[in-house]
Amino acid sequence: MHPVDDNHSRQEPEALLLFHYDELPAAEMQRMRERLASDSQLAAEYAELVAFLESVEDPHATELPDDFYGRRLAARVNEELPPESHARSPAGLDWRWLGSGLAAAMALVVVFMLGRFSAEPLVDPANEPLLVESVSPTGRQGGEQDAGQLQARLLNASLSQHLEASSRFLRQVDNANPSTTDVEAEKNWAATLLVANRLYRFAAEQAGQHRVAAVLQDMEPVLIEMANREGELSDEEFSRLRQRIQAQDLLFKVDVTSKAMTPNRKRGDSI
Amino acid sequence: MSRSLENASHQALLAAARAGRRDAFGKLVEGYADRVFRTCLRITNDAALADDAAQDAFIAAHQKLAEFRDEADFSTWLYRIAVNAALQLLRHRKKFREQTGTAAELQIETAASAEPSVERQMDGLLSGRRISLAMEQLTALERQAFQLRHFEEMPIREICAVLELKDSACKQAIFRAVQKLRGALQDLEVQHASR
Repeated sequence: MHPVDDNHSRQEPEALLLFHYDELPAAEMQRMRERLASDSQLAAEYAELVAFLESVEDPHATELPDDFYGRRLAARVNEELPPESHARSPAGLDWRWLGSGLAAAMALVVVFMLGRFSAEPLVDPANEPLLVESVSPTGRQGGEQDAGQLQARLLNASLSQHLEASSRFLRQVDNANPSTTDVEAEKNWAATLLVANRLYRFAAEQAGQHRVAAVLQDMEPVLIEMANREGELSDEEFSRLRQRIQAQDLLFKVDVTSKAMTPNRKRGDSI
Repeated sequence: MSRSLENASHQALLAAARAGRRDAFGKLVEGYADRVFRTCLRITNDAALADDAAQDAFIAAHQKLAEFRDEADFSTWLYRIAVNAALQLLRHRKKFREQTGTAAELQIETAASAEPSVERQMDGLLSGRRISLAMEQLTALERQAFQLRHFEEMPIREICAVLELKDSACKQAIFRAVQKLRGALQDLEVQHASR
């Protein structure tokens, strides 16, 4: 037999198997369909393969978990994990809000905080650190200052979470493959982040955190462009978004700001 | 729920879990428990071991949540942890392969001598047992790759990531598994028919 034909015949059973599992490239899938339609011997061989594979029953079919397995396993896993080290958000934010409406949940927290802020900024803008100190250097100094510091902690905690989510979004856009990206999902995510971003920018400005507000403002054009996207994104449009993210060094700014605002982070800790 | 909403909900859930929310992580466990268990079952071939491995996998995943990179696919990342947990258990637990094989052969002999109606009812069990026996002819890699592709319908690119294989090696493993299974099942059919 001609060496090429011999090699081809050795590869054919594998190609048939990959065809059955829909694992060949699209062009090869089409070629195989055409060959199966015209080559009766090949078609018979394929039919035999399919019949065999369909006869291979799952040896573990009776051992598969019941409908409540997930809950039981989650309970067991939870017992084995160390105690939670992070306190819940003082605003009592339930994670389920994130699933059903990130913007609505964040808006509730922000409205709560906005209602408590006075017109006075909490810090001197000239010496504004990114992280508003949760405890005064000289210790407790009275009820009003404690309330202001609590408000700052609330804002820092929520802002930190928003920045983390924003960082993940930006990273996803920066690394996106236009042909495989779920644009609808990205659009919905951007829309949710955008609403929260605007509320947090306002809250940060009110709190005198102008540098944080500036980072949030830098993010908005990217969020706006993605949130308002109609239909698919072309390669050029994706490229433009990436350029905008990279030109402003957005990822770096957001990551640095997010880390600096992580609650309980001590000043001087390395990022 | 639409795919986009599912993706958004999953992203939010993952973000909450990474932020330290234990209830959010619990929901992730509930959501992935079945697939993780089945993946572990394909590795261990033993439901009790698979259950332990699934638990170990989620505990490990919780510890490594901070290392998860957003550009990776979460399910692939999780299944790789599950595979490692299952392999770890196999290395540390006693595997009674010979005893399992003897018991399976005994069941086939018993079925052959039973009343025809009972024998028909046992066809499913026999078939499963024959396949289990035939699977023993495969290398661990061939068995794992085949089961993940054939029973879990995991795409080959995901199997490659989970089992840390190159594309060509994964395809070869699945192909060899099918060839060996065809041969082994033919032999078992012949043995059964001759009794």
